[in-house]
Amino acid sequence: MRHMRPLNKKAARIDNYVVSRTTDEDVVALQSPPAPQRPHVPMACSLMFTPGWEVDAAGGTAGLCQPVERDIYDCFVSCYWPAQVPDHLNNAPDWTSKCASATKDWRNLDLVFP
Amino acid sequence: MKALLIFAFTVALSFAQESELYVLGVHPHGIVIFDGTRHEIAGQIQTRGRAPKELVPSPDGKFVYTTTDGRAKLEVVNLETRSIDRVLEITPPGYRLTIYGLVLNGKGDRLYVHVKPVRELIDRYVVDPPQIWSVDVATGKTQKVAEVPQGVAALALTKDERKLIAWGRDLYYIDVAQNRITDTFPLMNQPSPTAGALNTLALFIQFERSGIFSIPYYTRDPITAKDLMGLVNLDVANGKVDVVELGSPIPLYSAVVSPDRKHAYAVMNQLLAIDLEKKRITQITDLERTRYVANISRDGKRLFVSGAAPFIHVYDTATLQLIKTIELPGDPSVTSFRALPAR
Repeated sequence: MRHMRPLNKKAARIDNYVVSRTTDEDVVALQSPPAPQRPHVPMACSLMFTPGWEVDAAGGTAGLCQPVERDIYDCFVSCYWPAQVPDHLNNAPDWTSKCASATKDWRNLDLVFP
Repeated sequence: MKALLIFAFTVALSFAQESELYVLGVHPHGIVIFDGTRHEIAGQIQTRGRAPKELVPSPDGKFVYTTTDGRAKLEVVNLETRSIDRVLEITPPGYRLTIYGLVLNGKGDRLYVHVKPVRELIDRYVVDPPQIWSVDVATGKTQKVAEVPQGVAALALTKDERKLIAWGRDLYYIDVAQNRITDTFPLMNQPSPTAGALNTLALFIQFERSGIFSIPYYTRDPITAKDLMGLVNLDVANGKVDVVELGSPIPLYSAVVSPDRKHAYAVMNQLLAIDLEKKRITQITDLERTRYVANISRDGKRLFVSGAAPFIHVYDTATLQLIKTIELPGDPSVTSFRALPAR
């Protein structure tokens, strides 16, 4: 069901364009239907996206660091994940100083409240 | 008795000279010296700032320059006295610096640093363009070399020391005499629409054994829409680049090239052995946890893998079998894992 109809020439042109793009072609040969567009998430960490992302290239988490505690110290210094961990530049520079190894002593990490 | 003492001293000295030493930073305030011959910790040095990241040894192997405190401080580590000699004060008043990229010249008297300066004004922060400075190691005086685009993570210096290579979204070749970028090797910004952008993360810098600075890349072929991975291999001495395509992607953080330049080893949740002549992956070993970085012994027979947890794992490069695990006093995180020059 169409809920909208063009009221002026420009809108009619847009409408014609959209119809032309969505109408089946006369000749399709052996073409496969186009694959649905999905966001391209690169593998692993990258300097290209700031901040980083929380899914792997397949949309899951298997391609990320395992376990996540192994990666936590560099989420806030090197890899541009500043939103997910305390601010080490201004407000909580020592929030990890009592915890030499996050996988072993994570309970010693400071709790930081905004 | 005297002869015995001399003999013992001579044996100890020769043993020390033969040892391959490596350095890596550990959380929260340390640098670990790792003996790659005996597979044990040879020493530990307390840094003034927290979380050492980049490590650059001096040519004589007596000093290491490291960035600490969120890549803001530049410390001079004396490996003989096992202490911090001094902190190079390169931050101008009213500024905050973040350092990504550090390299020392052949004489060991001049550092090149890539800094991201932020002016801290009363009412706002102003982000200045990223730039490369040269630092006189003796005096700490800085001089601007050139501005570079955002995204630079590592620096290298060609053997003739005429060109700095800044590894960012692309590879930028900076003429030190002309103070400008004179050449670019495209990675993300490919000139042809038929070539996919090469996405790299040049945070792990270890090329002492081979002279090849190797970083995994990921791309999507714009024609077939297939994801691909490979290695971008930069010959540090002359700046030449070799892009080695390896097929379907496997998540990897870093890679190291063997001394004979025939093999590479890459690591993240798996450990890969790569034949660089045949341009194919020859072995894959699943790791039980993530690791960031690897370096390789002088003879190419042992692989030292670390980062992301307080361990160094020693592997046989021929079989990728785990030989030994050495516990560290703290997490290395994203730190360089550098081999010290033979003394």
